[in-house]
Amino acid sequence: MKHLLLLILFALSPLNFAAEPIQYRVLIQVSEDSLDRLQQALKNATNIMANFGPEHVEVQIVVIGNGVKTLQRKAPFPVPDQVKTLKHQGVRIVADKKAMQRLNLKPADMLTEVYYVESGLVEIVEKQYQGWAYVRP
Amino acid sequence: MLCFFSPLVQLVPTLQRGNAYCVAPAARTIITLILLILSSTSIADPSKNVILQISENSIDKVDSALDAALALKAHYQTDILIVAYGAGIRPFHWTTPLPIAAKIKQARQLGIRIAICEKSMRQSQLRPSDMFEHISYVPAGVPEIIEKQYLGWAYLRL
Repeated sequence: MKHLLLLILFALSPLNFAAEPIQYRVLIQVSEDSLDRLQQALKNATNIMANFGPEHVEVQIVVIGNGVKTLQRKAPFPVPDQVKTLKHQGVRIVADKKAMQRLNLKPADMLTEVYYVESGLVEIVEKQYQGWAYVRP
Repeated sequence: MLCFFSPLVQLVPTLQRGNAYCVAPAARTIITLILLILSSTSIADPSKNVILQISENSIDKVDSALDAALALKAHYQTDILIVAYGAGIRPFHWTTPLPIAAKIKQARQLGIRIAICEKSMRQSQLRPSDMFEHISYVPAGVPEIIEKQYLGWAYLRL
């Protein structure tokens, strides 16, 4: 009887480990030099995480074009804190390297929580082909 | 990466058709596996089309949308469609600034399609003769965007 129970537990264990799949993947775009837009996107990311549950959803914010200006180290007060909080929650914030070159911004000028991609456009398009939902606040 | 993989991917059908009966089964499996891996990592996929939306009367937005379309065309060599509707049809008026007109012409020459919503044209009381000449028309803009997304196109609004 004890052996049978152990066997059943053993058989079920892989199911338990596999029971936390990511069901939703959401891409949020910021393309304007507007703190309101950035904060809207950050708020959307927080709400999406809360809505679906952080273990079921993967959220990435892609900042392209003039939007990269909003992620500078000198961003005004609530923004750096909000970005830090979101990173701890597992949201990736990604900046477009091409736009940064055009605007003469270097990674040293940016918030330390930011990740980088070669081309934000290609990132957005590729993620959609991989089945990500696309939101532009 | 694109240039490196695309000839290999094009080889897939030829190899499978032509050599299927003269290669040993084990070798065939290995070849198929390698080709499968190559085709899954390659980004040269003919179905990778992109649709861009312009719905604001803003020359800057049109400019960045055209730049994006040109960059994506250079990267993917697939169908790129720019759909303008609502206030977004205004920048395609014949009085559009010269640099924008030049960019529209360049985009058209590279095979990027620009489609204006006919419904928005009627609402703004504009005729095709009022518009820039290098553009085409769709009956309605939003359904076009929805349909293309269902067909697997990526969607972009700058």
